Amino acid sequence: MIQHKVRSATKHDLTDILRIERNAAQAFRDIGYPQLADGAATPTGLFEAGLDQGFLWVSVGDQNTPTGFALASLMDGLFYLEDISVDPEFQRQGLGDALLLQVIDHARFLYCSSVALSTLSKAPWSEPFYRKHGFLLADMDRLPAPIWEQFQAETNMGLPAEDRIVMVKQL
Amino acid sequence: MAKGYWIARVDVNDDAAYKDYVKANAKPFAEFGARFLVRGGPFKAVEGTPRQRNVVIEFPSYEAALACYNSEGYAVAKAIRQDVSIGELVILEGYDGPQPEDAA
Repeated sequence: MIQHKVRSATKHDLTDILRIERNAAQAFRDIGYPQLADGAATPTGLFEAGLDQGFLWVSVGDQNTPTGFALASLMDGLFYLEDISVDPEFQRQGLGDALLLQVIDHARFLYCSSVALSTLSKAPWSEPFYRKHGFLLADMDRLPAPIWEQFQAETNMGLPAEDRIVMVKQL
Repeated sequence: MAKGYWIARVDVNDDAAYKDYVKANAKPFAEFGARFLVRGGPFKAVEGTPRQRNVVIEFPSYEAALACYNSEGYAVAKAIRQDVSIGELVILEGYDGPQPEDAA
């Protein structure tokens, strides 16, 4: 059994991070979102900003090679989970849990009031995963302004609003 | 070689602005090889007056610990922190000599 740990990402991890994102996104093809499987979902600039701000983490195995990653950003008082992915080869080993716990821990360290994210309601693995960690469905009519703007931006990138949910964990 | 350490105790006056400090210090900390040994976890003040947040950061050497503090990158972060918090920060050289357990 390989021992995994979560550490801060460095610029040397970016190639692996992009590969993991692409590999993990293939699961979206099976649930009717080939555009997510075929295109880079997260702009590279966001990863670079995450590196500079210490908001990008990787899970690594024995060889210190990334097996998963989590990227967050600050939106007013909220910590926003931009992306979290685990290499399909290493899924179901608790790496997603470890990465999400790191994001939540960092949000607490930042004195954030909550952690928020948007995800596809049709992805069967998604909502239960976040619920397990204390995230609840947000009232879409009462989203904080920065989250609403982010949601709109993601809608404009071709993800229908009716297919997506916003989840929030209060800290 | 003995490592270097920062020990900081901080009361934060403005949570919102303090986020910008944490964001700004990430790059210089990474550059100088900083590792958080204590990062605002639970604590019990057994003597004296505690502060809200306690941090112990390890650097590869005393020189690196000092150089990080004096770097241009950290100067930007420090300017943010000093406006929104009050506290103490000491930079120390680690100890590499014999330990009590060695005598046991």
